[in-house]
Amino acid sequence: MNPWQPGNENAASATASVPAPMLVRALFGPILLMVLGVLFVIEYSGGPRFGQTWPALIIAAGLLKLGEFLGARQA
Amino acid sequence: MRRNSVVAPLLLIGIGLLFLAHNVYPNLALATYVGRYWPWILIAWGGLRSVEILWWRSQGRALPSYGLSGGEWAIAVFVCLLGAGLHTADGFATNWPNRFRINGVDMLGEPYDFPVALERPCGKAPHILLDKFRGDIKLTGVDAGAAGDRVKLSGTKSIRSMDPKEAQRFSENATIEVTGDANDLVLRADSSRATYKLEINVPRGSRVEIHGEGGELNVEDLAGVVLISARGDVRAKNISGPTQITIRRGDVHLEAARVAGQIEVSSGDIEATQVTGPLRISARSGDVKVGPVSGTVDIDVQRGDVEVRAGVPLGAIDVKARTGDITLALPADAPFNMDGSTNNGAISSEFSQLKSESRGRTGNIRGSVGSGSTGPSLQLHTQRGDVAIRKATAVVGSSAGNTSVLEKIEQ
Repeated sequence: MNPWQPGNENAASATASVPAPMLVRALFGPILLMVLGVLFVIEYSGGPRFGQTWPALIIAAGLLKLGEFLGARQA
Repeated sequence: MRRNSVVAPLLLIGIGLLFLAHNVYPNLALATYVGRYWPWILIAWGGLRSVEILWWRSQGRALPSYGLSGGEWAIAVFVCLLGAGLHTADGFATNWPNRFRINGVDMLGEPYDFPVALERPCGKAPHILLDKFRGDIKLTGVDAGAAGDRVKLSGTKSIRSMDPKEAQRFSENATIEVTGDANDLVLRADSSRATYKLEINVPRGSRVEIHGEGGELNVEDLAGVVLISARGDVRAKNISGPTQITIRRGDVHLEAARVAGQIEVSSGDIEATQVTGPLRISARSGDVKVGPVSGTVDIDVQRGDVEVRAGVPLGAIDVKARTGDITLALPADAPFNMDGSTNNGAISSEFSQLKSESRGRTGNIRGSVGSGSTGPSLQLHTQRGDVAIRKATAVVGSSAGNTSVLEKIEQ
């Protein structure tokens, strides 16, 4: 799927029950954005620097993908 | 079909409000606040979008395959770069509260001034050390008043800060610590944030040592000084004892001093008038103008012109310049032995007794004037530049003028 093509909603059904993997995939971006923000907030309030904490972004991305995978398996 | 999102309008409104706030309150340190709090924009953005997605889901609407479009990611990256840039400019990431320092001076925020007053009894000829002061200091030797000999310090300390309360807090912490006894006094400033503007009176016989961290130093009427500073101009006048001046960047003006020490400047001009040597000057980059000077003179300059007006008694003079002209004015009747040279430049002399030779761009001048071998040795050497030897006119280096200087210093 092309991440640079937003609004590609064909894959999602228009019914009330949106499958969990779709939800996780949709939340992928916003959650990563929040993690990014949190990492900078941590740095600015005296915690570890972003230069040290950035791998948390990869971990968060991995966890989200894992959630997507597990959701797909359950479905 | 494009979904209507609440984030983009909110972002637009937010940006508009920020600029409006800046226009209405020009003093608002907008860049500082954005630099400090921009990550919350990302968090709010992600949070709002998540809520939106959950809302769309509960409404049974189709979800986007990705929560953030490519364009939105591009904007997010732009926000990161802008915010991180502002934050770096505002201070260094780990520095909290934020500070932006150039040459050790806080550049952001408003300056808040707090009065400084301090008085301590001391001996008649104490050694006084002013340590870690940043800012301008005017220090004067005065006669003992009714209360006896005292060190009296008054002026202001200025603290830059975003808000007055913080400045007040820093001011309370930034105190001048006084240690030592009446004959050996140490005043130490906590200049991590404070910039001082001080007038200090000390007994006339004091030997003062100032270790400044930048700012102008102005000292007058003392028995001896040691001035050390990173930046700023230095003026010393009527110093009757050893004088030592070391600055990295700034001009030095020395007037009526007995220099039994040296002046060292990395970058800046040096001017010394009515000085009794031994005078030793070492300068990396800057012009040196000395005179009238009596006693031995030793000048070493990397880049800059040297002008020496020698008075009487004429002492040994040794001037070395890597790149720069050397001009020496001598009393017409004083005996001396001359040895001058340039590797790339012209040589001129008003003393007919001196013999000069030139070969191409190199040249040298040698000879004795007066009773020859009994006179002091004068060495003038430059790698690149002209060497000129002049007879001093009545105005410069006149023996009468010089005697009065010597008398003044003897007092």
